[in-house]
Amino acid sequence: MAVIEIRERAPETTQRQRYSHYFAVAFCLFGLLLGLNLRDSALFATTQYADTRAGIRAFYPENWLIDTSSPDYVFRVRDMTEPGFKTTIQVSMEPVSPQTAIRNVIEALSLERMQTLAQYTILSIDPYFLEDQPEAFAVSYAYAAGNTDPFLESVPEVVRGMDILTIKRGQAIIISFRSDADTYEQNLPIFERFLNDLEF
Amino acid sequence: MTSYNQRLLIPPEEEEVYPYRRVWRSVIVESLALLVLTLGLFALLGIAGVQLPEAARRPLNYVVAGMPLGLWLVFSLLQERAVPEPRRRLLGVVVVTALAANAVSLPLIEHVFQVERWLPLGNALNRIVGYTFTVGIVQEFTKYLVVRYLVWPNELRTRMDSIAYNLAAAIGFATVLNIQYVLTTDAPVDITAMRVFGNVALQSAGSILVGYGLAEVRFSRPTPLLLTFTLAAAATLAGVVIPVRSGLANASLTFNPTIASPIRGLAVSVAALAGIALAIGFLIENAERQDREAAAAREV
Repeated sequence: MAVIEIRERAPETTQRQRYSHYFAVAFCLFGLLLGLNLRDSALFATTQYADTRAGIRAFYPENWLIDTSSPDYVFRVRDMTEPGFKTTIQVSMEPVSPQTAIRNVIEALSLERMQTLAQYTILSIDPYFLEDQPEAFAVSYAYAAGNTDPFLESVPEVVRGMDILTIKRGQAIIISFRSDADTYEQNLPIFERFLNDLEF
Repeated sequence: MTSYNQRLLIPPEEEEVYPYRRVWRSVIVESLALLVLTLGLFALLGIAGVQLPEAARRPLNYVVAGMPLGLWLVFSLLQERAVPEPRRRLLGVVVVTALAANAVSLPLIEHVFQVERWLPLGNALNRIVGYTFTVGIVQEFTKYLVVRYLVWPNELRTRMDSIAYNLAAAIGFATVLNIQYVLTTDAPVDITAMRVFGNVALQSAGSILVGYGLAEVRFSRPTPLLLTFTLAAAATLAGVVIPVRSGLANASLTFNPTIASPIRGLAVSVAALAGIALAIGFLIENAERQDREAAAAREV
């Protein structure tokens, strides 16, 4: 048996109604683009750091804490909002002899870290393209970072890091990035942007 | 002198039957029921300090998260079936909005806009603008698109139909937010209830605004920008209420000792919903009165 459903004819939309919807959709799309722009300007905002003695100019993420007080590095910036291990970017310089190759620097650095970092493991050593540099290497590694206060009795965190090493003007330049292994991939683009803007 | 009972001489006027479910009544009943439940849980667990078994917390959180949908099913959908002219696509709007929220809106907010990474750190003005153009726009745009393409204009017979369908979209969206909150946190039941009420109140207030815009576009000849204004107002409402509610409810980090006060956050949600509902109710009543007067003038 066929069932015939009788319904009211659908009202035709007027031009004014169509324009109402066009404006509404256009506004929402514009709003979404503005939201993306706001996100970018907040997440990717940077602050300039310049050290004329070391000949370094860098742009590090805004709201990260900068530290230039240690003799071990030129400067170090850390994301203090991270709940666990603070994501860190550090630039250090070591004087080297004219005969020293980058390989020697990598080996010396590895030996030193094996003694100071728990479970230090090199994951890969690859050539890296650094602007205006004939040769550079990227060393990926991981280690276990315990809490500095042993009385907190916390489980060590796995930290992943990457060092970019090159030699310029008789100095080995070591640009380090370290982050919690869980957020490493998420934070790596911050380091890549930092490298792109770095001048030395 | 003989007296006659007037009722025997004058036939009683037949009372005109309102053929649709009364939407404001449902909104009031559902909101009050949810508010009473929230306050009851807060008084019991937050003030009186009654301890629930640990194992009961998560199941109870799920019950609380599903409570707005349950209340809506009882006081809106079931009531709809008892009237001569029911709104037929309410459940469809709830389901499609919930699916769209879960599949598109929430991933967009969490993974593309990443609001948790940058908005809580900003100053008050940045947070208001930021939440407006991220969370607010995404939520209101999603609900608007669902109502626009599922029911507008064919299913709208009166202005209140638009409000009813937009409120259904709000319930669908709020239910997904509630379930996500319960899945990702292990909050006490009274705090979950506060959050659930806040989600429902904010979604409903925004939807009432957009519902008014859609109703006017359907039944009047407003400026083509009216719908845009209502969407902007709804997004701004979310942009203002979310940080203000958090700021009032959470303890601040200052030298003077402060304590968390969830009840102030609840008061903001109640005020937002009541204020918007009263204002839009007045505007709709006014528009319908003008329509009646215009119709009467035409008859004369």
